[in-house]
Formats: sequence, structure tokens, C-alpha cells
Amino acid sequence: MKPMDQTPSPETDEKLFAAWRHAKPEQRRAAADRLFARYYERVGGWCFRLTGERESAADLAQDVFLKAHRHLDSFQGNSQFGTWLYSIARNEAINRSKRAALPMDDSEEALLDVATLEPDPEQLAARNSRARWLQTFLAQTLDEKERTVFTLHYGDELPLDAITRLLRLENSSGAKAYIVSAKRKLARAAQRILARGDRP
Amino acid sequence: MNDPRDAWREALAATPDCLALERLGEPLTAAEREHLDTCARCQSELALFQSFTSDEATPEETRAGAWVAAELHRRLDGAANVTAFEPRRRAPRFAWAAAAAAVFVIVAGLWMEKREPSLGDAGVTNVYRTGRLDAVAPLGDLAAAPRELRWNAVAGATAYTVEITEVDRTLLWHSETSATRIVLPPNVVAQCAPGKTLLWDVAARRGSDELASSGVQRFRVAVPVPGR
Ligand SMILES: [Zn+2]
Repeated sequence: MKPMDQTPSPETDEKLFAAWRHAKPEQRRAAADRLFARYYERVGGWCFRLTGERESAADLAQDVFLKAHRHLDSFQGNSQFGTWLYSIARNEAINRSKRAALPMDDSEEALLDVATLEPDPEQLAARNSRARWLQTFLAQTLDEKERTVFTLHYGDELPLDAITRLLRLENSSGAKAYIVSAKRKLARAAQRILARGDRP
Repeated sequence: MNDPRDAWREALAATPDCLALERLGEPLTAAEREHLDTCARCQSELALFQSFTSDEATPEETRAGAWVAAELHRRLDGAANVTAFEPRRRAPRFAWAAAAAAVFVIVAGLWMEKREPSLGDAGVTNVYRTGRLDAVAPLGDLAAAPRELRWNAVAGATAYTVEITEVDRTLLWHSETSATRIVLPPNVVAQCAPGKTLLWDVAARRGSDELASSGVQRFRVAVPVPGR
């Protein structure tokens, strides 16, 4: 991925990272700033899609870069620099979502049946673990978009409006429509399993 | 476990087979690809990663990204010591905006009382990017609503983007020009009510590169004081 706010230039992440690594202590901060600044716009735009609001996007992006500054020496060059920075942004964003408790919705109670469904022991053994069994169940019950929206909302607790913007869902009710259909399909599948002893 | 969301959070967590985030930007092996085909966790991680790497953006997102980038330069660049620059843990947004407005009213009141220099002369520190962009007017307390925004030219700039926002950063108006001044439309002038603080900033651009930013400037049309 290319940093967003740059026209093609001879500076690369690799060169700037090497410059930071070899910089004198008093020049390290500026060297790191040069590297990070290439991503201010990309991270800022992504944070805006997540929060839907500039000021909170700037606060989130600020935390991302402060964390990245503190951990820059842990970047080993095993991945692209942009991917490393993304992993910090992603974790920071999801940690924030998890801190903001969502009010519980009645229709979610019904989901408990599905989340705690137990496959029969034979199937469980065949799939090695309950998590894998559940992944298979989701794969068989939901389409890919529903699974993704469902996982981001219930696994990562991202708000629906953030998911709508991040995934560029253009239908009128955005992520909510996918959650509604996912819940309906899961509830139906769970009933089938409970009623017939059927297993995916 | 009473909350089904706890159950789902656990159920949807990554397993030891799941791809490390660092792998998302790399060509995947056949085994990784096979896992990805059936794993909702990894599929959602990939979708989230692609939302980050995609260059597709609405005009609003492009403007917001540029605004946040300018804000990051202002907040972070040149800070002497990162560890001393801990993330701000903000009070809820509206409380913050209200507090900021209250502080402004008090501070502005004191300034006006003492007939000290205008707001624009104090309290706002600008951090510049590669060049310096000086906002000329309006700054601080004004006798009447401004009719235009003015700033000094930046060498190499082909365009200037300007924005006026409320103190809570709600966007009121934005525009672009190649000149170093821009006339405000009547509906914006009408929003410059006495006593209401507005913020503005201007950024110099060459193509998609931002050369310099003025940082956030404040102005306010003074409330007429009887007997003065
Ligand atoms: Zn996985």
C-alpha cells in the first residue's frame, strides 16, 4: 500500500525506517515523524470512516501514532510498514469499541442459543474444536457479507454505522440489514438443530 | 455467561489457525487461502484491512483525511518527547465543547475588559508543515462580521482550501481558491453572530500534497457593550 498523501517520491518506508534506525538520538523523533507523516492522511481517513466524526477521528489517529512511536523499535520489517501500522490502528480502534458498552437488544437474547449450541461429540472431535465447528456453522448458514458484518459487530463490537462506512455498504440501512438477516437465519438454523438434533 | 455477546465474542475470536494480521498484506499460501475460505474471523479481518488499504474515498472522507492529517501535524510534529505526549482522554465531546466554549467566554471577557491584544494574537500556536502559512484575517475579536478570509501566499502552492467550523468542529463551509483571499457567501456571513466564536483554517496545496497549514484560527464578532 502506498501512503496516501504523497506523490511518487524517492523516499520509501524502508529508507525512512533505516534513516530512523541510524539517526542520532536527538534526530530520531524527526526521523520517525517523517516516516509516520506519510500515513497521516490514510490513517486519518480510515479513522474518520470508523468514527464518522473528524475530532474523534483525530483523537483516535493521534493515539495510533503515539503508540506507533513508542513501539517503532518492535517493527522487524517482516511485513510492510503500512501493514504494521494498520495492526496498531485496528487494535486501538477495536479496543475503543469494546470499552464503549453497547446497550443490549432483546433480539440478541435469541442469539445466545446459537452461540452456546453444542455440536454432538463425534462432530466436535472431527472439527477439533468448538470454534471451528461454529465457523463451519456460520459458513453454512450465512453468506460472506453477513458473516463479515456479524463478526465485526459481535466479535469486535464495532458499531453498525462504522461497519457501514468501512465496508462501503450502499444499501439503505447499511450493516443493520445484514445483521437482521443474519439473526433470522441463525435463529432458524438453531431451531432446526435443537428440534431435530441436526448438526451442521 | 448471560450476555450472548460475550458468548459470540468468544466464539468469534481468532483461533491458532487464523492468519496473523501481518500476513494480510502479503501473498497468501495455499493453506492460508483454504483457511480464509471458511473462517469468518479471517474474512472479516481481511475486509477491515482492505478498508484501510483501499484508495477509494468519498470527497467527504478525502477532506476529513486531510483535516486529520493537518491536525496530527499540529498535535504531534516536533513534540520534544513522545512519552510526555500521552493521548488525551477526552471527556464526552459535548461536555468538552461546552467547557471549551465556557473557557473562551471567560478568557475573551477578561481580554475585552483589559483591552488586551485580540484573541488571534495569543493562545493559538501553529505548527507548520514544510512551509509557513500565515492567516491574516479575520483573527480574534471583530467589530463586524467578516466578509472574506485572507492569508499570505505560500511558494509553490496551486490551491488553498479553506474551512470554517463551529467550535465543536461542525463544518459550516469549505471552499477552494487559487487566490490568497476568498469572499464569504452571505449565508456564512449571516452565521457570524455577535458573541459566537468560529474557527477557520487554510491549507496550501500543490496537487494532492499539502504544503502548509495555518492551523486553527479563531474569530468572534464582539457583542456590543452599552456605554463603550
Ligand atoms: Zn481464521
